[in-house]
Amino acid sequence: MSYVELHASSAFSFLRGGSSPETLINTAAQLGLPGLALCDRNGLYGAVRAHMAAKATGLRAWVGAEISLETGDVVPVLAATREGYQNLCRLLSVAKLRAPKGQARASWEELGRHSPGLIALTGDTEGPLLRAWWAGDRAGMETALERLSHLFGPANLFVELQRHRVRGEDRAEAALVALARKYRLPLLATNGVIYATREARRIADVFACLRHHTTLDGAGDRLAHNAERHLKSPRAMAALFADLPEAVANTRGLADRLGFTLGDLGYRFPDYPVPGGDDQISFLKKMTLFGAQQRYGSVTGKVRKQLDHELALIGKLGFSGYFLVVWDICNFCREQGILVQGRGSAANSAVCYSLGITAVDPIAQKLLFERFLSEGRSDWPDIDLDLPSGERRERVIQEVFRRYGKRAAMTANVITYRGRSAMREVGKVLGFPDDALDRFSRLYAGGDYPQTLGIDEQLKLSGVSLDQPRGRVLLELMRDLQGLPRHLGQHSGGVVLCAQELSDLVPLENATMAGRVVIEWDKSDCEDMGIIKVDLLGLGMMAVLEDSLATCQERGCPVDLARIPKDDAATFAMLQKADTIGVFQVESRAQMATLPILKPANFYDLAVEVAIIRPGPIHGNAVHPYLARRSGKEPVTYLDERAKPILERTLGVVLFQEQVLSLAMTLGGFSPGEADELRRAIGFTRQPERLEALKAKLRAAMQARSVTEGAVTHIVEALGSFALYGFPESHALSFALLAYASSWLKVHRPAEFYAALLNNQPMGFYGPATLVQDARRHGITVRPVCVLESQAQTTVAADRVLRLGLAQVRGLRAAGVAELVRQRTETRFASLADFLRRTRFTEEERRALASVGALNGLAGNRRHALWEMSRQDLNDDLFTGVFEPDGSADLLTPMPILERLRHDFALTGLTVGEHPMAFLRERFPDLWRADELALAAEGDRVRVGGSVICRQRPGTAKGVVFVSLEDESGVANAVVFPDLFEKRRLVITQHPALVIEGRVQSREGVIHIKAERIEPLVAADLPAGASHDFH
Amino acid sequence: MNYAVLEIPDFPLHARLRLEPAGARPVAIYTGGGRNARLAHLNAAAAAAGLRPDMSGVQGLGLCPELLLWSAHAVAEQEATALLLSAAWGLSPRVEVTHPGLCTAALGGRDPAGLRRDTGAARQALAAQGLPARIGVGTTPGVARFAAYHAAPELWVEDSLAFLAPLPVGLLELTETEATLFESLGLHTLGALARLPQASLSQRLGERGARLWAQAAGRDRRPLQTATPPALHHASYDLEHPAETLEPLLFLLRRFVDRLATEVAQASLVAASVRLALRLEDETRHEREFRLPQPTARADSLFKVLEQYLGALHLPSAVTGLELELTPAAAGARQEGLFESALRDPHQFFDTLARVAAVVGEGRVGTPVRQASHRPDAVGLGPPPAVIPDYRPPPGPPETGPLLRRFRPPHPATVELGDDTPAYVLCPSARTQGEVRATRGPWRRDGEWWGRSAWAQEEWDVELSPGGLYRLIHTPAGWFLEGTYD
Repeated sequence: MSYVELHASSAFSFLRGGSSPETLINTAAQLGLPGLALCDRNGLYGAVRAHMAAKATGLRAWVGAEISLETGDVVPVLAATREGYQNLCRLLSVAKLRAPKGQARASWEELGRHSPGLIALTGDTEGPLLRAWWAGDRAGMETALERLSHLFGPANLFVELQRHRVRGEDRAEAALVALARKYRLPLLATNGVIYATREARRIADVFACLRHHTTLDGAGDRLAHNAERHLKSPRAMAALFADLPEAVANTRGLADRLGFTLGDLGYRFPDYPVPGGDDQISFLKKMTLFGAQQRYGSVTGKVRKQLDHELALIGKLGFSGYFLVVWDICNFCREQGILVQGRGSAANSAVCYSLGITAVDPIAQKLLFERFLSEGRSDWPDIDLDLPSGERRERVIQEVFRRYGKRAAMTANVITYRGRSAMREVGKVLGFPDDALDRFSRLYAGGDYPQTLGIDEQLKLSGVSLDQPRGRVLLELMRDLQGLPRHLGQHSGGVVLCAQELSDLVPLENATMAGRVVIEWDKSDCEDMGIIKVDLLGLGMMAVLEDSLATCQERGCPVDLARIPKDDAATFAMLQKADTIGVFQVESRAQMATLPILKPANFYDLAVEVAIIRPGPIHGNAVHPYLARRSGKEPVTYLDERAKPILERTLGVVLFQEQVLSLAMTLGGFSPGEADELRRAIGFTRQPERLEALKAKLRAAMQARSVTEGAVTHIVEALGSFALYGFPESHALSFALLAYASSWLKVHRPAEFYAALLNNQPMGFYGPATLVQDARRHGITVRPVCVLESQAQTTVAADRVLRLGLAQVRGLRAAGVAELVRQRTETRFASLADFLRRTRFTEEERRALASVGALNGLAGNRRHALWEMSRQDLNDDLFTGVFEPDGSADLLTPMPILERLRHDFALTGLTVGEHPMAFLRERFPDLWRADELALAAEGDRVRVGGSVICRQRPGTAKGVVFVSLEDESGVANAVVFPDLFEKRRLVITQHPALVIEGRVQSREGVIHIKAERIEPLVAADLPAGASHDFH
Repeated sequence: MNYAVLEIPDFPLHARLRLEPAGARPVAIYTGGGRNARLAHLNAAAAAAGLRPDMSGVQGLGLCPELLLWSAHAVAEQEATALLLSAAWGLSPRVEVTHPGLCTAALGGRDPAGLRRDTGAARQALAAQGLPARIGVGTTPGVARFAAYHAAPELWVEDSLAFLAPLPVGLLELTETEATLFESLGLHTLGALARLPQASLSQRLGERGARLWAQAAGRDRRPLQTATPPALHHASYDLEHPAETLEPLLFLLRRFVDRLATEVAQASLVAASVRLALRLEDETRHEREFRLPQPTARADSLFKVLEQYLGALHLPSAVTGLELELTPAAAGARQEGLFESALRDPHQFFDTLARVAAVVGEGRVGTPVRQASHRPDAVGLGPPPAVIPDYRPPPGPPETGPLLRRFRPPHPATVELGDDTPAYVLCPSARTQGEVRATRGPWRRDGEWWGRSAWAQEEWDVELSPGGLYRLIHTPAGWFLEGTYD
């Protein structure tokens, strides 16, 4: 007898389901089920995953959802037709969009209005029938059944029976069967699955506790009776319902009626509204040729040929509208004076370059268009746009929403349970004390810190003994919980566009951010469903460039980024010295350590520098061979002579994603379509088995084409490395443009550049304090905040002179600052009393201004300002105009330097003067200054001390931690090996200033200290906040 | 000399250590919570490990992994405050609890020689309770207080101005705003503050400014908010870790008895009865009241009663908290309890109850309460309800079918299966056996999989051929007859 599970919920029924959709499908396949209907609570979050997993296993995944109604009833519905699916999406959208995030309640009337094409089940214990039964309301059961029958029609309603081996359920079932007989409705057996296997019930219990805000000990009968709500085989279900075989047989009959799957979604990208007489492709051609003339000056035969080739393929594949829509967004940006630049493989396209979507000339850079778009490609090309972060990017997003209305929404981002969140939730329900959970969270801080200790060791150090039974359970549950969805977030910039209303295709819900609407699927889901996403990404450096250029323009020394010389010797000299604090992409510790070795001398070198310090090339062991070959220490060789044209530019080393794909085509004989499949598999980390299958295929193909075993292994391993974030060459070139532009500005327009950096914090690798110290080392004078001179933002006061902006002072409201500037523009402040009378700052704001010396121009010094402003009768006096200093201020001594520094750091996060270490130097005579380290010999033992400006533990460094200490002379870099790090973990991660003792290691001018001892640098008057948190 | 101040330095630390001695282990009391937790008070071992106040809790643990990181304990502080007050009442009847761990006594009329003798005695009494005290004596409450701060262990200030001038302004217990203001103005000492015109301070801080100035200049005068002796002599404490042995309980009880006996004696009263309540880990309570044959205020006698009782007591689970209350009475008299009239000898009655408990087990005396669990027969014992609640039918459809009479404990059974279904049951202890004529089930329940008490069972209702309906269960320990249906 055949059975189909038509009522299953995954972990996307948040805090209910205990298994992922993929696990449910794979388990269903193992059990011999022909398919499964995923009915998550109030959403289709897991539908695509289930669909894709089913496709891979040869099963069918039907689409459904449990709908929460305002009455508290929950009704499962299944999409029988596309109309039904669209109705389901609309119903869920309606219920979600009017409710706070994470909630949904539909009315019975709405359920009825959206019922065409849907088939309803009567539900489980939360369904309207059994709720009435449990309330002892037999008549209510009948009323509910009549209501459902009326809304969906008797042909589209099934009386659902579930047997979970719970005492008493047989009586409820008898009532359901009697009603079904009375109303001549079909019975339907389901298991109301909420986890794939019996074992996963534990996760469902944990979720039940989280849902009820209780612990496992306190949950009592709020937990399930048993673990019976797992997937069961057709045989098991037939045995379970041996007395009611029709209920099982009906599942097959109903499944046959469910004609809709996500394979029939019917998505279409919107057309661009072209002028009359043009179609999409003809208009794209016109605009491209016009743009090419602007870009290239004159369109040569080579350019024309390339454009014709690209346009022909774009037209053939039907992507013209997509290019026009992206072009249109770029046009809006340009009209609004917002910098925009396409990233990713779009830079391979001369059409994109001509349309002004990308900034790299692919013809000059010899980039292959086929890496962007090829005939064998089934999915849409990927064009991501970088925009200045903050308000300007938001303007662009809002414009897209304005233009496309209900046809646009943001992509979701599925937040999953990870180490700390899993520990916190599981620990909570198991009743572990808060201090152990806090300690774990503190000890094992997130993302950038891949752990060298196993999770059991981490737990032990957090005070959780694995010898007690709960410790072991905690460990197991944490592992089970890892990767399950926790809640839905919003993708940083992915906007999906659609020819019709999006709520016909996928349910929409409110984002946390007001005015934003999010679809229920993430970017991989969208890709799988062929839904086009345009990424509008915020890049701090774009904002810096835009602001720098605007300041240059204002100051009468305009800069045109497109025309800055690409071979500027001073710029490359700075890059070679690794003097790159504040520069895009090449300012990290690892980049700075590589620059003096790689010594970039032209633009392409810079692209290599950008690409080489990435997990991809590092894991692929490409860094050292490339550097050795470049410096002539190692000969340039090739994996295979046939690979020479592909790898020549990178000295025989595989650095870029395109090279891997070209090698697959040249050495493995892959077709463009297969290469494209490989590209997609590299980018698709959610299903590593996809890449593994292609790697095996490539290996066999290369072996068949007589490629040496060493070369085969190298290329296949390189594929694995690129799955860990390798850059495409075109992307590296796009980023290199920004890196070069920011370097050029740092060299030639430093004041404008630093001002823009300070105005766009937080961004980049370093905080404002470090940027200001770097500016000082480059001969820039940074003047403090002053109410008589400062604007809201940091400004360029003169050549090589900056004036810090009032916005730098923490806690000042923008409105107060704007009023100050307005008042000052009208009439200069004559006195402190005048200032206080005409501005609208709170007492706290005034105190902050006085504390950072912003009132010195009116009060003489900080303490005088503070003293005068602390008068309680100030407001009366201001009103009556009799406020006069009483002379008592003269009894106060001026604020000493270290105290001034403390206030500066506390209120502005920086000092415009000497680094605090300069004032402490005398107290620590044995510490080396950062700039003295060059004098030390290899292996010398030294001690350095300063503010920690960076702690990094890259995944590629095998547990090694890089710590940077800043003092008055510069930055000293230390390398901390895992054993020392684990011993001193809390000292290293929690103290803002450190003393590190170790031996000097010097390589090609790059100096590190191999740490052997690490102590906190404790000095009572060292300003707190002199260091900032790690990245 | 007009005022004396008794101060326990690091009061939250010593108050807690008094009830939870840590031996040589480093201990720190922190303030704030979560990320803002800061070390505030350290014992000598913690200071020796390089910790200092104001470090974050995590920094402290980083430097000293064996550190005991405690929060302040309100009950411990109440206990210590009561002792401090008792000591201060030895100096004067007009005593104010100025701050936690700090009492001010108005000394008007005391002769210096007698006062010196009494301050020494007060310090000794406190030291005996594990509370190191400092005493300052001065012309104003403020001066006396600052003197106490600098006392080692006693300081009598003659020249107030000279004494105050170098003292840090932080001694004035400033608000955060005031502290920030003074700090940023460079007003670090009381002398610097006193040099400013008083009017300029009141212009800025109002009346409070004038008061701060007066304190800094040694001119503060104010009436004391005198404390009144307690009407209730009660102590209550939640243990950090459940106590499974007698020692920590007796230690704490001794501390409580000492304090309560001192209080009672100071009020010229005696204890007529002692009520002891123990809160247990299984969320039950054990309570006992002792009517003293001879009312007394002697700590040793009171403690003896408790010690003897606890020595013979077996509790079902560890103790998580305790309460102790002395009922005072005028010496030579005691008050009858409200409901004692029916009991000829309540002492004997309670003893009898205790003996019943000793026979049937402590966990078996009380009112049964059904627990919210799927575990069959999950029942706990609670105290009898004050009022019998109205009957409310359980939620859900009305129960139907026969009633189950449970076998407690269930009878082990031997079961033969046919097609995975019970076919024959043999249960000698229930004198039952026979072929299974009909079955219903199985039903499954399990729970508490996360701990040592994990359980699971499969249930069958069976009708045996000789007659009779039974509930049969299959657990990891085998088959059992759980009950019979009427």
